[in-house]
Amino acid sequence: MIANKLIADIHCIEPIPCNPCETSCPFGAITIGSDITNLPVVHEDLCRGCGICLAVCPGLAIRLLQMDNGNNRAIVAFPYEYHPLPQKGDLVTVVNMEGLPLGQGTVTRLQKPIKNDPTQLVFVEVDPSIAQEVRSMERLKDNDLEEELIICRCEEVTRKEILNAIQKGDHSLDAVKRRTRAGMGLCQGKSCSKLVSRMICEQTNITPDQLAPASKRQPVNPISLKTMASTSDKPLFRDLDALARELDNEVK
Amino acid sequence: MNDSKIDLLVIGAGPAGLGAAIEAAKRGVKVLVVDENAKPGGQLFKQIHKFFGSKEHMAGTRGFTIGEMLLEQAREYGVMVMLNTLAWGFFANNVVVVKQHDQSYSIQAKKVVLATGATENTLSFKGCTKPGVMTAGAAQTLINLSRVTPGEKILMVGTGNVGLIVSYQLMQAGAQVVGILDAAPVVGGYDVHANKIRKAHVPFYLGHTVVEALGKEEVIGASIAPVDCNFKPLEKEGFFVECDTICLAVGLSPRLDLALNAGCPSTYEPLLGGSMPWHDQRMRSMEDVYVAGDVAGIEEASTALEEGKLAGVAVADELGLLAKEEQGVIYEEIQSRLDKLRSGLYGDKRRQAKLDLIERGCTR
Repeated sequence: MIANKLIADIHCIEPIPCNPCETSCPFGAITIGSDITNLPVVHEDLCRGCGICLAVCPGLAIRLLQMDNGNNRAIVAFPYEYHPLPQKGDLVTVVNMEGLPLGQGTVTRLQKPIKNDPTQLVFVEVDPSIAQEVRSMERLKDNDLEEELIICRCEEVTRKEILNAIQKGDHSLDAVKRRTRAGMGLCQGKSCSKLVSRMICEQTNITPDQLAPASKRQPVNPISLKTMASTSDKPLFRDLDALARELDNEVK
Repeated sequence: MNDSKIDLLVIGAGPAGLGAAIEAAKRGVKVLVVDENAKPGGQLFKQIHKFFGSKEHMAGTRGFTIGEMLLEQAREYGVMVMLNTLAWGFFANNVVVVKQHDQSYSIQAKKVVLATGATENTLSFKGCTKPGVMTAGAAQTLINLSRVTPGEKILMVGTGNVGLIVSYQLMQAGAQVVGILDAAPVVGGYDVHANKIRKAHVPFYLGHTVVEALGKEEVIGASIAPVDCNFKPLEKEGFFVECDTICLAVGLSPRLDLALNAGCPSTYEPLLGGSMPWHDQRMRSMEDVYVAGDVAGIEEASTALEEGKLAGVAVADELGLLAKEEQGVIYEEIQSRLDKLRSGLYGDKRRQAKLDLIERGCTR
């Protein structure tokens, strides 16, 4: 194998009827032959490492491999069809055929070899000692899903909205409340204020004892405007003895 | 606006509120207790287990029986308890506005005791808004007051005393507890409570947390996983537990909204539930306003009752109704009962936290 050149490396292992790799290669670098169940053969001298075969292979059974990139590091590229995608420069955990971690690698490039086809190739720089075994990478956690978690149920404010507010400098319960409405709903922050406090503390250097409780305004419980407006001109009670008798009757 | 006038207005008819009302009324203070609920007693009538403590704390008596005894005493001393009455605002000059039916009324009191209790903490995880996820207190209300079980297979999150006791009571109500978990590596509550459910072969998943409530329309199971040293779940090691209800027993927070409205200074004490109104050794938070029970720091019902009594006596004292021979002595009596409740493995820490809090004064 040519060590310093990026070349297709096929781990197609079964005689199944399939040959897109052969027909898609613009350089004639892959041969299957007339029997469509033959296993493909790569002609290393013809392969230019364009990656088209990686994206067309229905079994995702091809990778690109360069054992030495000139800096004693190896480059592996593999198709990756999950969301979210890694970004250039990300440190990812590369895995073997069984999905077991081999070590860390740095994403050097992302490429879509076929126009209008979403299959993405991820190029990862790894230590040459593990390069032969690398087949893919560990799936990245979908933070979006986590960020869609509802923190304030009453006002349906998500974790993402609160994180954004904290990032914009809202470092108190009141500030987050003003921007996002978290804590302004029916329960008046009884469910979410500790969750929001924890998020502020996690994202900043603030400790929980430094966080003042959110300001509380009357009415402390939800009541209708009518109730608030109809504050009685008559007192609730005048004569305590009469009240006592009345309440006593209620109990009985 | 036409204010009704009263010597002492107590907000909340739980153990702390009733304790304060009884002690004040006993000494001749005219007391009105308001509570938003249809029944008095606060959480006491949900407590079907026997309480700890000594004879003077009514130990060995079930919570709801203590509630009945308190109501009887309240009647005996002429405490007026007004139910279905929500206190929604605290204004200047000790004017509290309450709602009855669709009308609001204002009450002006010489002294106010806030015994507003606590609210339950929640957790956020994937699927936590699905039907079937509820707090442990909600489940306890369903089984012990409404007499319905929230589900057949319960997963309890949290091994504090609330999680342990409610797990036991859910089993008594006919449900199965498929597991109880805690992010901490050890059980949070009393071992004797834990043993009640260990004897029923309930699996304990310590050092675990719930990652996701699974199910399309409602909970059909949970994904739970061990946590690392930063309490982050190791999701790869997660596994499935079949359940139809996930109960959250992850602590309580003082319900301090009215206290803050009143202008009480607040302070922070993690051992007592976080942010809370500050108070002195006689439960006074500010001129004319006292706090007692869980709003003055999360503890338990017997302590709440004693704190209430302390506040009630202090109010009587302020109003000049404390008999000479009681001066000093009565405070010591109540304080010594409180100290006994705050002793032992868990209590000592709470007692120290209370002392520190009183000593350092109001911090904000």
